[in-house]
Amino acid sequence: MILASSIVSRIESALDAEGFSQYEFDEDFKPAINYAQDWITQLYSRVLGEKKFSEENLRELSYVRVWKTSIYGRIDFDAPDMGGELWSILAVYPECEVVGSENPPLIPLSSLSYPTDYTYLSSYYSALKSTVEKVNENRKNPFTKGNEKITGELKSYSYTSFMDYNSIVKEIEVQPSTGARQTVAVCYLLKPTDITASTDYVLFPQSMMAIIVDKALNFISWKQGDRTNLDGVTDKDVQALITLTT
Amino acid sequence: MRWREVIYDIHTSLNQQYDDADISLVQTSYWCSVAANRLLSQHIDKRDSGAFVAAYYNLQVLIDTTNDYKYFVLPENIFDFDKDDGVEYLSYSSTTDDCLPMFTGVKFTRTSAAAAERLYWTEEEKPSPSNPYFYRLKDKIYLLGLESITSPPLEGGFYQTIPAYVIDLDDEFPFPDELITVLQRYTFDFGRFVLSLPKDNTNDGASGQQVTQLPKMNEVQNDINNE
Repeated sequence: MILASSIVSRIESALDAEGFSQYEFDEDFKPAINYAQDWITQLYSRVLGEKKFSEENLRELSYVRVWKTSIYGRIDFDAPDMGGELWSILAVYPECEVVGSENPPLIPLSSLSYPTDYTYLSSYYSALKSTVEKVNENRKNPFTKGNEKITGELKSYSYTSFMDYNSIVKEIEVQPSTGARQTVAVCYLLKPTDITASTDYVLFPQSMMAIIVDKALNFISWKQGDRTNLDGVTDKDVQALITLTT
Repeated sequence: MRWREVIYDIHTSLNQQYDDADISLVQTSYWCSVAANRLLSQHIDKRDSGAFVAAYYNLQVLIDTTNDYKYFVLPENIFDFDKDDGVEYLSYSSTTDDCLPMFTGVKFTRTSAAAAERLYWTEEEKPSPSNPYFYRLKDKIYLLGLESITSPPLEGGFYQTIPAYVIDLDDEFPFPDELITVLQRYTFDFGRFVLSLPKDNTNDGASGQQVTQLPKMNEVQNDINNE
């Protein structure tokens, strides 16, 4: 986590604006930092999908929670259960071992999740991401992930991302179906929340300070007019950092 | 050596070629089995050894209700060697109090459905309980000569093929250890072939992608001959 005020200090230093009131937190720094966050989130969304970026760099935003599958073997991924807005799913672990409540509350089978009752311990399986086109074809192909033909240790799972199956909730489907009320752990990233004050934290690791500062400065440079020196310098820095980190 | 070591070794090596390689463990297992079956059949063909004979001691004889032929179903897939040599031996004990092993009892002689007719022409060759024959039709072994007696349990030794998939990776991998290196290279060739194919699912606007050089498949026979 990075304290917003430390980012502001760096930005002020780069702008040579320490002690001046030319730049205001609410009008300049806050939107610039939030813009930098959004920009980085969007950028890394793509590289995460291509498996070119390590989730270790986003550890403050990474969570593993346990869900129970519905009667259809699906997982209802409800935002309040997750603790924020979902950014990306990193992994799905079927057939997981859990620790926690021995007597979880009785809930209707049609209801889905009670993630706070269990803590993920381990699993021998990781479901691989499948596409909505391939998921059905793969069911009978023993060589593809998520097929139903191979059992035992060579069994593999796949999952498809959120889909609205019933106009109520969006669910993740795991193939082959684990059946109803099975424990499935989901490792996911939450979107970083916008900062509102200089005492807030930006939920990226300290190692990403440089790119956040550069991108925030880049945002501020737009307001300075066309093609200022700051625009060119920060743009170049950001490109270099992106190349190095992805 | 167990399946686990053999398959994971090859699988890990294959997936190290590209970090995005998506070769499943099942695929590797299947390639291993295909390659191992070819190598094993050549190995058995060359060596007079009982290392890969799987013996079954209580094969139950059944009667085909459509024609009253006696037969039993092969317990597993076997190698289709010339003249049904995938069946190493087939026998039964003619006496119930015989202390000798069953395989020292009456042995079955191999024939074929087409050639069996000639056997009935001479008394010396005619199928009988003391001179029984067998022939194979698909996964069934038909028996000649036992028509007049109550069918005894049989003992048979077979050269079984390696199954395409294994349920328990801790099972013994039925393959000669000294040929593991050949199996690895042979299986790598399968993987290299797949990994060298052009990616036709990449919608990058490029056309005419050429495979630079398909790897040459090793002549396994050479490897075996050079043992």
